[in-house]
Amino acid sequence: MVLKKQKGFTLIEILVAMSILIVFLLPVVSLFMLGARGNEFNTSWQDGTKLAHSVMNRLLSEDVPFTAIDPEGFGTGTSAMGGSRAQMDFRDSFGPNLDFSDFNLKEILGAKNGAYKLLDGDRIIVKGRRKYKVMVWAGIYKRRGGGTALTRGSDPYQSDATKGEELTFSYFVNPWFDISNDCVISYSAPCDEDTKNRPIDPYTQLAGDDPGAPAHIRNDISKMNGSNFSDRYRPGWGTDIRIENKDFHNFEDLDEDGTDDGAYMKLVVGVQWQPKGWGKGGSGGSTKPQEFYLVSFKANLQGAKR
Amino acid sequence: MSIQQMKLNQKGISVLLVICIGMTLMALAVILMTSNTSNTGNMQEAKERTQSLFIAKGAQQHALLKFRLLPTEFYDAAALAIGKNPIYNFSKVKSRYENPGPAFFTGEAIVTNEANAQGNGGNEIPIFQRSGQWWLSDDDKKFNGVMGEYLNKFLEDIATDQDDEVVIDSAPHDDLAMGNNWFDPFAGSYRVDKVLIFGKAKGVNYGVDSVLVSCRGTAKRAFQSSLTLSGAGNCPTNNPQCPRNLTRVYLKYGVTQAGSGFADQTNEDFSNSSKFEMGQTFESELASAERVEYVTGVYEVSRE
Repeated sequence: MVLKKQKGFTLIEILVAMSILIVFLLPVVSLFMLGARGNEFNTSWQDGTKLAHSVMNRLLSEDVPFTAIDPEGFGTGTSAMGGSRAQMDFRDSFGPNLDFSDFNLKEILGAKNGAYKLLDGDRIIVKGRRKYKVMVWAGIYKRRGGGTALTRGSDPYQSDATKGEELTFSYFVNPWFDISNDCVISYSAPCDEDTKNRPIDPYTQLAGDDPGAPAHIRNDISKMNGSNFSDRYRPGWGTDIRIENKDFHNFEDLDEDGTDDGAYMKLVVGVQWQPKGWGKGGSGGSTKPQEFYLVSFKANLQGAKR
Repeated sequence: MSIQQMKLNQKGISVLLVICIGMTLMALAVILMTSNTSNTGNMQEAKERTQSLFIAKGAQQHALLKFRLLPTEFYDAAALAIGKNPIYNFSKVKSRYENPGPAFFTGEAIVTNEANAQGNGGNEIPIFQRSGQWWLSDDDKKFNGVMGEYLNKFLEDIATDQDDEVVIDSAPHDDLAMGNNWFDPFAGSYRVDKVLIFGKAKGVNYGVDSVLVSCRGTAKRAFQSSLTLSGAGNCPTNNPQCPRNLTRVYLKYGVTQAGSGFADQTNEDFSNSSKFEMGQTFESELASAERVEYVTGVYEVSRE
């Protein structure tokens, strides 16, 4: 049996094949490069978002005591444009009783052995060989006005709190009623609800402010905020408002310096990075670093316990 | 040349192979590009969801702080909303005026003989229909019913934009926490969205109740801005300090469609003209675009 003669590729054949391959590969390679670049961009965003999520989650957790956060303690970091506010840092202690030195809180922002990794003065965390700047701003809700803290007065409920100038917590005190001056007891038509010392009586307020309801079971709670609000006083209580609308401001002096330390804080976490391969050239805004921000709030839910 | 000979002829097979390989690579590259484009959209959505989620978590902290500071007031308000008298004294004789309760007769009153009720000093006890829903309705987000006012009052300031106390605004403002001239990286808001009062022991246990509290956080897509980088002209229109504009428009829109402030993101070469459907309404659509997330927890409230 004679073996079939196998001819090899000719030089011309190879040249033609290579030319075609180059024609195909050029756009394919550029497409792959674009794809890889896009992939890097997306991965860097996923990591950045996760990082900000993780940092904020840990700041909000109960493992980070409220008072361990020093709102403007990190002077070397980039200040916020708005108000040139410095970044936060962690304290080792607060007042005579609160010691956080063994809490290792700086590790949340990438510190090793108590020392941050810094880039241009900002704290960085390396993820996926990318350097993420982690910036955190914090501010505590305290009484405004020249920075003077609100000092506790004789009223433990701080009823002199001013809405809009400090964080207040509003509520109505419990309803009460004046037995001797109630429409139900001393009913005589017409029972003038507006001038009668008739309190909000939950026992008899059955029909709300339904004008068609019998007067003795009608109790118009909406008058608390209406034109009759100031007319309704507790008998014998002077000018104290009958339906007490309290604006409570919390006063928590945890470091025992006589000033309000606040109990509620705004937190802003910013993460800034440069995706690999996006540093030079690129389209749109790709030459600039990418940024992602989160805003949240942390409350002191532990009081003075820690 | 016979057919058998043609089949065995392998001339030009390398060209065919190269074309096949090239086509396969091209297809892979297109798939990769498509996948990246889709991921970018998902990523941006995830970004806004995370922003909203953490605002909702902040609302939860605000609520928990108020519950810690005013536990009795919260218990009382919750009890009143479901008709319980929180200050009923079980050790004293029940009396209509001095120790009413333990439950208030809230609800619709039916008086069978009004004249008798009025003429005899209101001695006739009306028949009451306990009705009403004691949770936030979709319409007004308020507790219905007269005594629900106490709970409404308690919950209403666990929210942003109440007397400018807690504010999340990307326009410069005097912030109670951050100081004067501060601006946030984006605008948002929160509030308590739903409270369900479960009660304990079918609502007859006094001094303690279980409540479910759901907080709602919202982050707006428009006017997102950097806190550290200047916009060099591409700044959000609501901020004269001109920080870098971080609102993403996904390169879908041309400069004309996006309006001012997006020149660093928009690129006519990359824009897909078929996606210009928003046209002139772009800015108003963007201003209203927001993402909402909820955080829910169940807590025990008690008188202290």
